[in-house]
Amino acid sequence: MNHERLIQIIHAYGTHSDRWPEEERNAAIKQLQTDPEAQKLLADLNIVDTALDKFGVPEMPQLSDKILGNLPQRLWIDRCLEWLLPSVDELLAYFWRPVLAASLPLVAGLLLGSNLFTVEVTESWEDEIVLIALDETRLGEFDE
Amino acid sequence: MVSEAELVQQLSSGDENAYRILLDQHLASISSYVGRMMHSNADTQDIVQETFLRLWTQGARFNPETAKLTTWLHNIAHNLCVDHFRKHNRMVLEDVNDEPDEHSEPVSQLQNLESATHIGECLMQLPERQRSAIIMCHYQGMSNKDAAAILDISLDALESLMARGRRKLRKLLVSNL
Repeated sequence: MNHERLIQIIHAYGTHSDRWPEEERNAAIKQLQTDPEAQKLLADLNIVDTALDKFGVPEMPQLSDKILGNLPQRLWIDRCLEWLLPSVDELLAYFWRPVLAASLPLVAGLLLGSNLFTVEVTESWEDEIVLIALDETRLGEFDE
Repeated sequence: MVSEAELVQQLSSGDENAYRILLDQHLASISSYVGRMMHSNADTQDIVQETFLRLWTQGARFNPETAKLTTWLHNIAHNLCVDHFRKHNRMVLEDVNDEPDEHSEPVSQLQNLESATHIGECLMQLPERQRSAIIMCHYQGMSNKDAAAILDISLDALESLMARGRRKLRKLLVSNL
């Protein structure tokens, strides 16, 4: 800590030492004790902090109830989206979201495909027996 | 005692009680910040409500390993204030004429300053970033590192911003007497 840094601190953070940067506070207070120029500056600028201290804000007692009253209900779709877009850091999310978007056509294709092609099911036992017999006949032809 | 990180995790899965606890813990601080930034009750209420709505809907995005919840909420509130100023064309541009006035009134006159409204009006005349930096460090008890992170600037830039803001505030307080 030196004179210049103490002056910078007073100009930036004001005259209340409890608002000075924590890691420099003790050294700055020590420097102040032996620095008449900084002491004078502190006295001159103290008036701004005094003015700032007078500026309060009105309390809003109903605000808490208002916030709670206006909370939207969480829908299942919101939870699905939260699961799909997890709270990873921005970089991971940056890659995850395009992957998710790119996989949507694949999902759509699978859904569409499963609806378009149905497996043919033989409806009667008689037809099935005929088909098996035909196969065995062919196998016999190969044996000959 | 449930930690803040656990409460956020609970609210992410829809736990309204966890949300109430966090609301009680942070409402006064966020209202104080926004109230001093906006200097208007109606705007303050809207922005504070929106900030806490985002805690409810986007709480899962909060990462307790990278920031404190209060810093995260202040960040949201700050961005909402900036958006509001932009929408309403109330953004005060950086004043070129920041240097102290050589012919300013004697400092003793400032001692008669009583009106909080007057001080609030002077604060409102500061550029939004200067005002925000002063409010965060003077009223919110925020560390310089957290304030710099919210404003997305370096510590040197934050100190420069605050020094200019305080110099201009002093000038405004004197000239408006």
